Amino acid sequence: MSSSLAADMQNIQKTYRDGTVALKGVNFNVREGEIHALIGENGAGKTTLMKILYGLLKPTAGKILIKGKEVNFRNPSDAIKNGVGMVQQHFALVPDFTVVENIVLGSEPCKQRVVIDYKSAVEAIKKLSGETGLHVDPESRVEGLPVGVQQRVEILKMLYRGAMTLILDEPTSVLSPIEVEDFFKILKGLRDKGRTIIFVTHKLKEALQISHRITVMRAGRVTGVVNSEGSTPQILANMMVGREVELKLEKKPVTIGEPLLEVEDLWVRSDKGLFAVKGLNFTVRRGEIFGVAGVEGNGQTELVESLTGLRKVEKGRVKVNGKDVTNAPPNELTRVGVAHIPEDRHKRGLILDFDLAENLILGSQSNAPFGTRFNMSLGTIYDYAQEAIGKFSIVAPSEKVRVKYLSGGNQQRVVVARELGRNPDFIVAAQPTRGLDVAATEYVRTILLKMREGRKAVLLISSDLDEILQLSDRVAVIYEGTFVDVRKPEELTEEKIGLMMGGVKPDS
Amino acid sequence: MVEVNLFDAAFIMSLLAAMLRLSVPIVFTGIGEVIAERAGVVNIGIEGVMLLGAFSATYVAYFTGDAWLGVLIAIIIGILSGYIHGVIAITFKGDQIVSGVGMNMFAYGFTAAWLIIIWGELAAGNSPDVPRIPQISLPLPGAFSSISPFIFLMVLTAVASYYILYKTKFGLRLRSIGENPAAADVAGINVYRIQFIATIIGAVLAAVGGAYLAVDWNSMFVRYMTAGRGFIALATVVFSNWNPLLVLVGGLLFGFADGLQMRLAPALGVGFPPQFLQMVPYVLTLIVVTGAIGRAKPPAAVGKPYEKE
Amino acid sequence: MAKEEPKSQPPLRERKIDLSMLTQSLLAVALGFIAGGIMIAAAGYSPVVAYAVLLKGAFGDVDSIAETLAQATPLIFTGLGVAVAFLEGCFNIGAEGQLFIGAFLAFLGGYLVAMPAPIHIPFVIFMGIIGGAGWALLPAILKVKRGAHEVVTTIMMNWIAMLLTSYLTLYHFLEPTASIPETPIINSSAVLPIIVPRTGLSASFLVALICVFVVYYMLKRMPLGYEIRAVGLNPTAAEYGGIAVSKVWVMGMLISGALCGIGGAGVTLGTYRRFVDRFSPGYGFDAIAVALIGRNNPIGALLAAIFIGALYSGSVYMRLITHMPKELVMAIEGIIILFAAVPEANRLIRKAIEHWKFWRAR
Repeated sequence: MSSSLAADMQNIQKTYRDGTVALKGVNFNVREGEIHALIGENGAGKTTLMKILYGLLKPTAGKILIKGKEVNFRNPSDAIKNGVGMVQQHFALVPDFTVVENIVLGSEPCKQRVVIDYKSAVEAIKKLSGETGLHVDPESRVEGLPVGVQQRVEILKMLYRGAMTLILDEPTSVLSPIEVEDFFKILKGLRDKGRTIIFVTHKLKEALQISHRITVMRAGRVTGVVNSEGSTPQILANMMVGREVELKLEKKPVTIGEPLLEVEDLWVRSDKGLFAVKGLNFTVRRGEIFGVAGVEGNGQTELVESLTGLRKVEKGRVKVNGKDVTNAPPNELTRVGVAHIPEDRHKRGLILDFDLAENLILGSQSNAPFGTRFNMSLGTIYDYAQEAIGKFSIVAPSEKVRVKYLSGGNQQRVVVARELGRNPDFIVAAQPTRGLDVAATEYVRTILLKMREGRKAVLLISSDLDEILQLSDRVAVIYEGTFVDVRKPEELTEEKIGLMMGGVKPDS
Repeated sequence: MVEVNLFDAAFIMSLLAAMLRLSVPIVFTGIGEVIAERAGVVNIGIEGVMLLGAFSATYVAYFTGDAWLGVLIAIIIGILSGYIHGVIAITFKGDQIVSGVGMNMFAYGFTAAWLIIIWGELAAGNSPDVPRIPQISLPLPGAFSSISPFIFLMVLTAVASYYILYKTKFGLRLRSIGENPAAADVAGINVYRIQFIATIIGAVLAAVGGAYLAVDWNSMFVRYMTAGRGFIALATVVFSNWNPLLVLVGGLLFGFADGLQMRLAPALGVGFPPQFLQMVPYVLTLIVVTGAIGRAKPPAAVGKPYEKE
Repeated sequence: MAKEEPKSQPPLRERKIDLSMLTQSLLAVALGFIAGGIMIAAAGYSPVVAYAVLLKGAFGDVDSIAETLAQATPLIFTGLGVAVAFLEGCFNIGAEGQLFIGAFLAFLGGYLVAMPAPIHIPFVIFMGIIGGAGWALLPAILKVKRGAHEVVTTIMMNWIAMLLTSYLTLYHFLEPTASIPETPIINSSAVLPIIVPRTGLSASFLVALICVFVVYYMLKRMPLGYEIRAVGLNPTAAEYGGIAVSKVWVMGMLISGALCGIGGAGVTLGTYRRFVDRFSPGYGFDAIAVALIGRNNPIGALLAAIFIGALYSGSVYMRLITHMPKELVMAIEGIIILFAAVPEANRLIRKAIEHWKFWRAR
């Protein structure tokens, strides 16, 4: 491993047009022939940084040097010309095309500049496969291939174009443990042939296993760069999670009551057909906030959707208040007393072009007192909206304003007002404070605590650790579809959670 | 009432010849739309483009005496129409269906009005005769003794399109845009430029199909002469599973049904209603579109304006 | 793409005020008239004179206004129908076919049956509803069950409807003394009387006005209207909110078809008092212009329909005076639609993608 730098990113800043600061002056470098892990939680900025290196995004400030030469990438083609390739977490493959068509797309070998020379392409691919161990059938269609093989196609795409520095974004998230072992062998082989690998992940053990050095990011900054030799998951978790503590909210002691939500052996599939939730068992009782922590993509979304009538439960049972509601449709769940604060309020929670009042009654438009099956009492609806604005402290010009003009925090208040207005027994809150300012965040958390005091129950799913720790009575950490462990928040430190989020069960 | 023996050789010959002739506009237009949709752009305005192509060819043929020149001008009109649709659909990311409807309505109104403006009141139904594309004479009997060059052009276009789409660099990139424009974009392909090219090619072929109607199949422009063939071409696109060679097959099929219906009615007797035969293409399309005959798989990203993230 | 920014990007924080609906429509119309003016000039006529005569022909005196409203009447129905469909995110290009079937069933109801007028008229209108809604049912089901795109299916249904009613007229109900293919007159108890003498304005116009208010009421005050709008704006959120999206979607299509069917009935019962083969000069396509210009709003559709009706009725007078072919007006309408295809592009894409994603997941 040489000491010359394959890539050197200096003082990179990235601010989006709406003011969000994603990267606050990041220094990141990779040595030639190195396998370098880049770790951090959701929102730390690792993917943003890599997208800049690959030319998908432009930095607001900063310098990038590839092999000592300063570069200015306008698009991925520029990056590839300089030997930098990236395999993103969501593959950029054309499902209908074959492997060879996908690999050559954009860099097609041509006879007479027009006709594609598939034969030479297939030969080149076979040669690469032999060298690297990435075996694929060039003629097969990508659509039917297992995800692990699709990943090989993505990597071959980069290698075919001569990429010497490979960025892999969460590559093992689609692999089984055995496949991961094979994958690491391939990575080592690639490195032996002179390539440099940047490995973006949240999985601490893997980072330690495969890399030479590790860069840790948090909240848009680099918090440390260590050699993996001599480092431990604890050290990494520490750097990853940090000690930012926000407002401490007061949690009163509450007597825990009878079970409100009972989940037995829950199995739910993801969109790709694999199981995202693998046999979860848990109970949430009255007066409890049950928090589920974890890096996104470990099954949380599927869990929430299966409990709110939007995704099929393949196996297992869900009971609310003793009643079996497995696979019940959303309106029945509402009737049984389940409310839902969805994680993407723009896509799922609100109808942006509807006004405040119309959003408030979504789902109740034909129920009393808002109306009957044939008529809505507009007067009652708008009065109710006015009341809600006051009760839930929504800052809005009027109840007739279209919610798309409200700020994120106020939009969330509308969602909360709607869900709580139904007087539910049980709330599923998915990433409820995402994208909200401090005041709105505190507001939402207070509401959840109030639910708890009112002897209702809350299932809180959040990738914000502070939130989980502050609000929950019990905390479960989800990793690849199962709970690594369920503990009381007092028993947990932030390092321990960091470990669990990376798949490691702490000893104590 | 003329008694016709359905299995009379002359009848079959004339039917086959008609099938070829009637399929030409549908095949050209259909292939054009396949190319456009394979790049992700829907253009239901091809009915209107056909009409504009037919009209411009007639106009030029009338004033210059040269039918081929008419076809050339129709091609230019096709380029213009395709460009307009492209601007609306690709540049402005406007509604592709609405744009097509507007194009159709414009074409219907414009061509009908200009018939009268150019050739006077008496031409309200159709233009005067114009020179026709010279037919090719073949040493074959009866209905096949002379045949239009467009028949060959049609087959050539189908084969060439197939070849281009599936064997060339341009074709691969074009197809990738219709399936996954984000992947194409990341691979460094200029999505918008290729979409524009594809849309224009589609419109040009439709215009040529229309020109054929006016200066070859017929020798005049008749008001509203496309009579829904553009929509049948849309159906052929689905029927062919977005494959230019199968568009040829589909076009021939519809041409056959069309030719049959024209001959069968008198053959079966005055009493037999032609409407049911005329319905055949449309019912066939319904069946195809609902996947009753296998699932037709459209390009995954067709009709969706591509927005760079 | 692994987004690390909050999933709900806040581009809307920019407080951009949407160009008001009315302004958008007026802009499209204005641009259309300008382009049309250029076209008219190219034809050798004076645009100013042409437009002035058009205006006079449409609104010059009471009779002209009545004719304008008469021309507008079928467009009000079909425009409402298409607007309701657009609101739920559906392209009902089949207004023409639904119109024909509604018209024919109304004819059957008026011709084959004899009842006292107060019962007969609602009955035949009801037949129009059944015809139009029934004809929209098949494409609706095909979309929901098989994912067949409603643009293609409804266009096919148009042609089938036209051929079917043509056949029925020519072979089963042909009026022997007529010069064009049409049926005999319906019973007088089913006729919608002319309300302004010597004009074509019949009571079907009043029925149209009633429909405008019914649709307005439905959209604004009925849960069904709320649900239709919700499904059109954000089917995912609507489903989250407990709305039965597929059912609502089909319901919306049926209502859309029903309105077009009544439109057809109005033509049969009021204008011609019989079914005339291929009577529609393209009402179904004008309906799209009406819905677009009227921004899918019932009152807007009413005004837009009167606007298009004015174009058509004025064009007859224009033809008389300036000898300009009235089809030019259709061309101008087409240009207006082209301009109207590009309102707020951003919003359209977002919506289209949402819709596509939603139906794809089915």
